[in-house]
Amino acid sequence: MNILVLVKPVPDPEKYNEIRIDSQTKRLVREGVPTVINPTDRNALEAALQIRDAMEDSTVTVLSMAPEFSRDKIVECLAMGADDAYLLSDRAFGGADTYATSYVLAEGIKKVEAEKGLMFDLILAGNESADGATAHVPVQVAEWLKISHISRVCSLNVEDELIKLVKRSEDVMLSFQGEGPAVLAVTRDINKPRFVNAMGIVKARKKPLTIWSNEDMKLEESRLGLEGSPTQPGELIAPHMGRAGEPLVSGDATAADAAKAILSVMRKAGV
Amino acid sequence: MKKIMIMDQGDPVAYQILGKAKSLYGDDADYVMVKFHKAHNQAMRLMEKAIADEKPDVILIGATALGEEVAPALGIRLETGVAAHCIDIIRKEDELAFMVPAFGGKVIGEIFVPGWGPEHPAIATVKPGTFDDSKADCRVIDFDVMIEAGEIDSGRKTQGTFRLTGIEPRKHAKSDISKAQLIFCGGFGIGSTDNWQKIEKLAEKFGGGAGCTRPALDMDWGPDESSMIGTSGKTVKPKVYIGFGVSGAAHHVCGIKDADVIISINNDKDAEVFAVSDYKGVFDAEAVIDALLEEDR
Repeated sequence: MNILVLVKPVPDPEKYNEIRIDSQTKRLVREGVPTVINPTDRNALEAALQIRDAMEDSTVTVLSMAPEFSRDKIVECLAMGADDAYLLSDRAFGGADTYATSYVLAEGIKKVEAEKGLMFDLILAGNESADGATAHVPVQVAEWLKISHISRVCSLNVEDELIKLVKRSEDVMLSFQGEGPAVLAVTRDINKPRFVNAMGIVKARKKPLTIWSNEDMKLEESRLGLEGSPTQPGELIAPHMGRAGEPLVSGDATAADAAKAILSVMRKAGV
Repeated sequence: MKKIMIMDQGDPVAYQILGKAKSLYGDDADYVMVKFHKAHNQAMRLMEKAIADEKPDVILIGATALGEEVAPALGIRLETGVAAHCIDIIRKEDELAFMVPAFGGKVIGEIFVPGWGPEHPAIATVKPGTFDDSKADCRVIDFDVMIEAGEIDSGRKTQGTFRLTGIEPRKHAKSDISKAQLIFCGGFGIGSTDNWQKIEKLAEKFGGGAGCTRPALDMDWGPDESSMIGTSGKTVKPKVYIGFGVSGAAHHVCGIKDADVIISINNDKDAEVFAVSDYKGVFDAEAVIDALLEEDR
């Protein structure tokens, strides 16, 4: 089984409190916030590696659209165990909404398939990215490719060519089975992603990582980036969430005093 | 006159959205709801049919497990823009600004769909609970299709086929937090399964809900996904929220920002959560939890 995993490097979600908007330029300032592999994409990669390791003649390819400076995050995916990787990187791709992003990714998938002379049986992605969190891209990639898609996949098994999965909905768990090609977007509880070890890092250096710019992709500029995006951004605001932060009790109070103070706030609020 | 279509999945979110839409356009718009009883495997086919018949200017969809798949898919098929998880919709003369959170709610951005109209309807999703419940009413297209096992019919030919084979009710957490007026929330700082159980006891004793943060959920101390509060979990609006050992990460804080009163207990006097709390208590979380369990209602 040939599996492709979509991966997005994102600003570390643990550090989002450090992100702010510059009062002069009104632009986002994310200085000092490191880039990491989007957390649920690691779950998608782990799911792919587990399937590959259980099935003969299986491969895991990673594909990402990102600036070239995040190349080392793609190498990290190879160190986790992916067989090869493709990074789509061009200034023209920047500023894209999910529509224009998914278009480039879908074209990237077609080009990888053409290079390799195969069709991916399964395309896995994290259900949503930590930064934009739209959950659009996996679905939209599938729509461009005209293949099936199912999101919020919390359990996945492949037996021979039959794909069995469970999707979590608000009030029910939905079981599906079928055959690829399909894009499945996985949630964080599907597995615990493996850590990168020293051996993985050594091996990653020898694995193929191909970087394609739009000179390689040859996509029409009008379909890319901000210009190719049907949504357009307006102003950014940082909502004011600050509150008074008054001490609940005085400095020398005990935990029991704090409990009494909490009760008194509850009573005053009528709960 | 604008036509506004809302996808009704049989839960209150459709009416919350309708109430919001009517507050923007009143009698200046035609409103229509499309109902198909959570028929996950047929939603795309039915929505496409309704859109072809009605030609709406705007399509608003609850950001549920179903809505989050339908909305972006329609975006590609109709070659139009989709705004995800709006926390507000603002009418600006002839434009609509969809207010969309990013970076765990740390930043809110305006999203426009220029040229929106019957040819390229603006599509937006709204999380349940974002807008208030509404008794507003409008015309309904009821496809009268129930959820049942069967092939996914996406309304067009796709490679790869999947079949819905089973529908199991979900096991729910002991208390539903989305409507709770009082919430006890455990963060990473509670440190153990024992303390999570005590949080649940507090919720039971005082008649509230038990919630958790993502790091607490990841520790497998007992809470399930339906207890998680934050941008990727539940958004809550209780009268009183009491957080124990909560650090104050942006994606959690965004989920509690509409609480009337926020009390935070954390033994780190510099915890970020204190800056977004009405009351702070620098205490060991467990000590205060135990003391509260001793108190009478």
